[in-house]
Amino acid sequence: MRRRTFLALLGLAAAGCATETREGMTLWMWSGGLSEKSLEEATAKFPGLRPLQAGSQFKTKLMTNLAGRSHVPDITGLKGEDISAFFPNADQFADLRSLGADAFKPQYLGWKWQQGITAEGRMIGFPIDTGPTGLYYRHDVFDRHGVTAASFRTWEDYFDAGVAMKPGASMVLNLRMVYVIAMAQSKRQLVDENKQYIGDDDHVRRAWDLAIKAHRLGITAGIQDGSPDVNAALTTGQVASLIGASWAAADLKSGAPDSKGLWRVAPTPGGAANSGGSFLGITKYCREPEKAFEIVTWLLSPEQQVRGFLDLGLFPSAPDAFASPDLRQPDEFFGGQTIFDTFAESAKQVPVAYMSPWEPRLSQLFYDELTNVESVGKPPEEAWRDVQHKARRIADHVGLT
Amino acid sequence: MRKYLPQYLAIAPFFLLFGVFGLFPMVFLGYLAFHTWDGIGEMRFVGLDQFKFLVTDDIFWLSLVNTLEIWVMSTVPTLFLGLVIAYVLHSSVRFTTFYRIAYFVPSVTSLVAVAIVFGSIFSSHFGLLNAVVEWLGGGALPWLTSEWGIKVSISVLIVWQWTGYNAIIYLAGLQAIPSEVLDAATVDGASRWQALWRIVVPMMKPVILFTAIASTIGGLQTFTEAQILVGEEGGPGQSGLTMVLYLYQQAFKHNDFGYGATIGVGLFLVVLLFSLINWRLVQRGERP
Repeated sequence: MRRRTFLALLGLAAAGCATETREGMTLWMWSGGLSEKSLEEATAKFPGLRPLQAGSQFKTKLMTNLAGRSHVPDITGLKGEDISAFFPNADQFADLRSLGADAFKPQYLGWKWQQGITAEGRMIGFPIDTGPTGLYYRHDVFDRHGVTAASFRTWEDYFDAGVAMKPGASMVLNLRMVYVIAMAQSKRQLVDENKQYIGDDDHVRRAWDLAIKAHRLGITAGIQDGSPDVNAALTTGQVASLIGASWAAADLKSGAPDSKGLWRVAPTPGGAANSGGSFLGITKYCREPEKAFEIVTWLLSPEQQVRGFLDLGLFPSAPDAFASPDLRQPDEFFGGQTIFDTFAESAKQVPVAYMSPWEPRLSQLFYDELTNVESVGKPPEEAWRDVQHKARRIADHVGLT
Repeated sequence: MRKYLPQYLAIAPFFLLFGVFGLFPMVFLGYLAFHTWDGIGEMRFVGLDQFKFLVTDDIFWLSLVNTLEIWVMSTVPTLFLGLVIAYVLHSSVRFTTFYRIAYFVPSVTSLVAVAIVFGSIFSSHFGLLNAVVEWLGGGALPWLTSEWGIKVSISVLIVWQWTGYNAIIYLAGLQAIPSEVLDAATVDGASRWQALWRIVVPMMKPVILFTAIASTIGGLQTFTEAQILVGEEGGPGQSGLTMVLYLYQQAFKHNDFGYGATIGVGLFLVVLLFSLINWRLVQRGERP
């Protein structure tokens, strides 16, 4: 009896696989990538739409299925840090411009729109959310040291305030954060549109020098991202500020709940920047790209983006949503400040920058060497020489000029 | 052929699975190592370029050194403790099954779950271990943020996981030793310690060599422990970057599958070298 049941189940499972056809419209997303309510409504509105949560290692799964040319989703999420990795194989995706994307362009933030477009002009990603940055700071600690965040314009102002707070509190968590944000403020990154390595240019050196300066001034705590010590340092006020994207507010609330009411948000010293934010793309295996495009534009319309922020804190990429009174709510964690407005202002000023497919790999070398300076005490000039040597080698290896 | 068809059919599943999941990836790895491939696009033949890049890649050599250091720091205590535990288990009379199960459980526990638990043990600020260190009057140690801290933490995790497994194998070896030999030693006045080192260890040489080879092959492929404890980049100073972690990072994070395959070939050569050394040791041991 038991054996028969088992065989019957096996048969059912086999039948389930066999009936897997390309009917309908599959949409791959990770958890928390799109509002559940929006997806439910879209499923009702567009019959045949089947949203699937592909879970962790999203990029690897998508790449595997694209390489295997089977069970490729029709519509897929593309993380901001991954999208450029697909640029060399942009032909795997539908060109959204040929589907009429240009008509929607005015509704979205220009710099975000640009990030979904390859150097050759093929648009493979439609904007979901963004991560405009701001300066999160401890109001109480700043007051105690007579520092006012409103007076920060440049990194130098910010660093000076850090020096004024010594030795009571550190201003910066780690060097990597300074470098990452300073690079995010730059129009140019490590590789330009012509596949040329520009990681030894002045704009990179400037970001590097800022990080090194923070180190020399002794205003960093040297606590690395992701370590449990981050929360302790932020709760006690031992580290009095943090430059992070809008989504970092949620991390702060869950990681340092005891410091509720003591935090405020100010504009990022040195200018607006972005960190994170995703896209939706349509693969070339989609048999009804027009319908898929209709679904994408509906899911990512300004109205649905309001929902995305309310449900999941996805910061809108469509400025029309910025005016929504539902989003512009005072936040008790931040002493009743309407932090949404600060981030919205930042989102409008993010510079347009070309993100090449090699940014994550090359950036990692810079992060590693900065960590070496900070944790192991490596001399900064030696670290810079090493990072340039390593980056040049990889640039040659992957065929950059 | 026809006559033996049922027999061939009976052993076919292993060869089919091995062919698909064992042989094909190995052959393809050798092929891939001479190409550049981003995982989706065209493969391009580049001859020995990837190998030239490998031998001049400081990070590859660093990962090799890291792997060997972690391997020594984990294998030596694992085998030593395994032998001692097996000896104690062998001599004890009560609850033997309970102890055997208890010591074996770590090696069948999900490594990810284990590594997360160890992560909170070794954490610098809230870690259990540092709480004990501070209670004893010491200063908090940077377990997961300093070079040797990282290596020690990974090694401790491996020791915890594999000591019991090796103890069970040693126990099987111990049970094969005739009790007369040990009884005679006891009659002659040998202490337990002397019996262990002068009788048990020499007689167990083949078993010990087996565990040494198995631990070598396993230790050179350390991956999950490092990935969960210090992340895909190997932590500060890349001190936790093992060879397999580096392979994974290059292939699956940076989509450089060609170079990932070349690292795989490098790893194969290192494992081969150590297996040859082990084999020579076994040969020498068997000569009269």
